Amino acid sequence: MSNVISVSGLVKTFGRTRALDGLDLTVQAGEVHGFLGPNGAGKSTTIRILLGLLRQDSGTARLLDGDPWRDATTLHRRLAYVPGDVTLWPTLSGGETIDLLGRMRGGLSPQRRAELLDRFELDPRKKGRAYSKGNRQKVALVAALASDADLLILDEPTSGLDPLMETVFQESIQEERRKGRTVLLSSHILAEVEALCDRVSIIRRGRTVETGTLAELRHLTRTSITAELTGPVPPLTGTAGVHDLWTQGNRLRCQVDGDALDTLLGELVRVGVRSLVSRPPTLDEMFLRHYADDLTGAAGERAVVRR
Amino acid sequence: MSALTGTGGLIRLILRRDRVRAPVWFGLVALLVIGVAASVAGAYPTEEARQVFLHTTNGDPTQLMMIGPIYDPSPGGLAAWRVRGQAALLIALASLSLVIRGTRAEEETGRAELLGSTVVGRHAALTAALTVAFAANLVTALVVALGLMSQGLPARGSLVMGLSVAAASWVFAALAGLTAQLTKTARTATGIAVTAMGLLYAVRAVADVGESSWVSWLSPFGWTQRMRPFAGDHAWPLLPVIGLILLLVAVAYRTSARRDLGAGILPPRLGPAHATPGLRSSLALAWRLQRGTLLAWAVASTAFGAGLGGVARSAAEQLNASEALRGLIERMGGSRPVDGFFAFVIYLMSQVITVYAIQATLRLRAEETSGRADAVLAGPVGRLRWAGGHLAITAAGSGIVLAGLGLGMGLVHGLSTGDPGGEIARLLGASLTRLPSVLVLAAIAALVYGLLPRLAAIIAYTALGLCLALEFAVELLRADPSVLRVSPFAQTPGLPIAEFTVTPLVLLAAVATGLTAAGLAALYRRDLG
Repeated sequence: MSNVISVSGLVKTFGRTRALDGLDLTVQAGEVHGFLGPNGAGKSTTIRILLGLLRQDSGTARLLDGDPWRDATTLHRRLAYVPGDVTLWPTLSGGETIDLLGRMRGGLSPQRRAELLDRFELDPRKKGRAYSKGNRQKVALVAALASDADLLILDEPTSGLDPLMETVFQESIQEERRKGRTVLLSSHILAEVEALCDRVSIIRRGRTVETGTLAELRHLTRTSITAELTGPVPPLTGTAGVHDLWTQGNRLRCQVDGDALDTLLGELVRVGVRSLVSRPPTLDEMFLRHYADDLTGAAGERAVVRR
Repeated sequence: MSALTGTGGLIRLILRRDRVRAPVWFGLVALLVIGVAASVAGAYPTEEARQVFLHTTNGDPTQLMMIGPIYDPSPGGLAAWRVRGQAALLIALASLSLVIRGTRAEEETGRAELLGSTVVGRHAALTAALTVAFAANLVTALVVALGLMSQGLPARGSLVMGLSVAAASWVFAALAGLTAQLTKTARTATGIAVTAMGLLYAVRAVADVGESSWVSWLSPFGWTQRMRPFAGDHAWPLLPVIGLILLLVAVAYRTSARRDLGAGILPPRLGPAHATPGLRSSLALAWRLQRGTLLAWAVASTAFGAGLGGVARSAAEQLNASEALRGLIERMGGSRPVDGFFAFVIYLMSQVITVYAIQATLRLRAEETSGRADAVLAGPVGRLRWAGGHLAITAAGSGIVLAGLGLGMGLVHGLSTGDPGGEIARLLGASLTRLPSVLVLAAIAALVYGLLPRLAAIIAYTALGLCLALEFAVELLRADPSVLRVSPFAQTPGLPIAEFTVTPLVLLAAVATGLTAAGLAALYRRDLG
């Protein structure tokens, strides 16, 4: 078994809203897989289908070599889930909730539980209704991380955590990776995804638009170049693959496609280069490039339903 | 910025948000009053018929307990008697829920914080909620008055009738304004206000059965009763009502001024850091979540049963003195009038207890919409096991609440007859016989939850309401008693007065099982959340 999750052509509609429109997703065993997309892109819907809470209209979804809908109960012994919007039972304390969820999944190590509570600085005696958003998330995180599940499904698990706790979270996920666990991490925090994920899938309007390692994705996108030449900048406007060109005397700034990099550098070297800074695209830039159309063109018809 | 800044905006917000809910709830109460008034005139067309009815009713302790005495045999007097109590309860419930929705519920969900960060004063939410509640009641009072006048009833009496219903409701709006300041959750705030309402209505019931005027003074329901619409038309009982409202509102503002937003006065307590060894399954969780409500219902029904057991003997004597009622009980096969009393109150209370059964069933819906069910179902727990756990507790809990009623009645009544053991066995059995009827209604709730989860609450409570409405139709509109056959409550034998037969119980249990199974099958197929 090399693929822990394999989803292809997934379609799910709610009334007239098409939440998923042929989504593909493959998560390999032992990897931390980033699941990116703007609000309403279908991340939570996909996760809820994988958990057997929703049933897809068409397409296939396999999870740990089983059918997420039919084999839900047996599959769930091997996974732990942290929802994006954690709600707790108002009358149960955080500690009780952690114990309950852990025991239902077949028990949890008291040592590991104590260690995680300590690390996340969580008071387990507070009642569910008394926790802040971040602390509710910590309760769900401790419950999930204290389990010995093969697969962790985390739906925006750190949206309420402070930067200090964000670091603690990243350390914990690195540990899980070393233990050989598979993680599906849906997130908005791109720095987190860059730090943690082996591979990412970017989805938009219910469809996968990019998938691969960060290096592969970078190759497909633009590098930003800032250079100062020894002579005047040659006429580059119109050169294939060069974008957002800005020039002033001997200086220039531009974005260049991966496959046009060679051509551009050739042009610059011919004039003579005094200094050059080349920066690979950050995930933010890749992300924004994919969503930019959403913001401009079709903003009106964008699906906004999360579930 | 004054403490009241922004009140106007919040009033508009409440009106916008409750634009369907409030008119329906308050409007239905007005329609109920007007409709009953119209039907009473037809049911008892002659002065003589009304005199006879007044005589039997005022001699019937069950009627005195549930509703109170008739003051005047005019059509208006009968209408006022028949509907004033229920209308006051229903509209008070509407008021207190409106106030708590506008105050504590907003704080609990955090929406108040969003509003509080804009230009909104400290007391604006409370003031807005109370203003809307008071105004809604006043409008309802005027609609009732106009409706009654349009039927040719005296103008003064019509107005007093409307005001007497609204006055009781104002008190509970003000009380809800106070309880909303005390607790952290809307649920607890509502719980305290509704419990207070139930207790104060019970005080009125005891006062009327015991014909004790000083006891009656302990309850606002007793005060508004003294307004006597169409039977004297007094306005002075509004004075203590207004006094109490001012007191409650003053305390509410004082409390509101002294606490933090989101906090209550009753402090939140810390819980245990570890779960008890038993909390390890979805059934254990369901029990943990439901036990508080169940305990409250069991205690209330036992206490109410004990109260009924206490008045049973004097009630039976009065029943015996009334020839018409004695004849009725004898025809039904009862030799002891006290049994007739018990059969009637068990029949009635089983329908009240059904509210518990429906409420407990709909816990599933609350767990689902809040997202908490996801946490359980993302673990190795199947949907059927999750839902089955809640439903099993609902079924057992309904039995416990019914048993509490029988136990309370049997113990207190048995102590007065000198045979507690025998009476407890008899009345416990009589109460528990009603369990299958209660479960049929709970099963309807489970079915709708599986099929049409959004409509579950509305349909389930409407079904219960229809059972009560049938009773109303038979009693008031002289509908053929055979229509009651549709109601599951009329199917179970009316112990201890009637013969025990097992067939209807088995049939009802089968129906309940079938409906529940269909509901679970639908739940198994549909999307969650």
